[in-house]
Amino acid sequence: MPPPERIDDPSVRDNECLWRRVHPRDIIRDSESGELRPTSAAFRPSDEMSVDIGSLTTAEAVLSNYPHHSLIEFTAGIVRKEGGIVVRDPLPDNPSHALVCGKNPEGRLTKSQAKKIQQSSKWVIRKTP
Amino acid sequence: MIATAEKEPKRSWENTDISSLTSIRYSEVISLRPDYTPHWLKDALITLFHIASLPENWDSYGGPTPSSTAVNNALTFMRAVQVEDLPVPNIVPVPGGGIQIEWSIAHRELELEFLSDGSVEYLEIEDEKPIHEDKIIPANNSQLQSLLLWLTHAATRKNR
Repeated sequence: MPPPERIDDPSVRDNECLWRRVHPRDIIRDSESGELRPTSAAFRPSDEMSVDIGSLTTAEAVLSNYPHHSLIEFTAGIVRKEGGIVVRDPLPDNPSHALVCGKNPEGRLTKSQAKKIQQSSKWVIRKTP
Repeated sequence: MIATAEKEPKRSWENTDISSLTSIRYSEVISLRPDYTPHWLKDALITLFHIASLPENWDSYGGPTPSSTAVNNALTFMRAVQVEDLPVPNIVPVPGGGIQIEWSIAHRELELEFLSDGSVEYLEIEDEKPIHEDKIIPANNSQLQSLLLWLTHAATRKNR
């Protein structure tokens, strides 16, 4: 279960794209397709996962201080389909900031949840690792 | 004539704390003799070394440097693997300070995440569907080897 104080925010629609930066070390070549993809590990911080709400920012802004990172997107709908929740969490310097909370007590995505989100994700901007 | 069993030469990198290595010392560690070092292991050790050297906030979300516990448990596990003809695994950092080793053989995938608290979380994937995940506390090598056996059986089924 997500942390008890967290409640899913339905104002973040299912078709809203959520963006997350991916470090070059978390990009691997898929053994089946041969394409570069993020590893599921990129979606497993130690607790809730920071994302940006795509409609509230730009890819350039999200990557502005991180020239070597790539940007991946997935929908709020896939998070909910896999049992997670999405919470707006605007920061003073980043109003598009939000949190994805998984089934673990601390809000961390389970490995299965992270894998499903990875499988549904698409590149917004992919840098060569 | 009395047959004498040839003693396997001692590998200089055994029992080495990889997280404490400098780049100079690491060059000694990876100069493994090709006659008994599986190809996948040599590549994996090089990758693990680079990941162990990541700085704080490497992921841009405040993630810590991979913990020495996670790095060394991953290293200990890989050293103990008895299968020589494995594909090279993907070894990646996990934002919370862990190390993940991913293998893919035929229709099966195995993810082993070595956490900074010494535990291991794993995920078995079959035909691209996550089918089972669990946590092993603390990292138990025989259980980990069983998971690898599950993975390598995919190759057996493929060859039928």
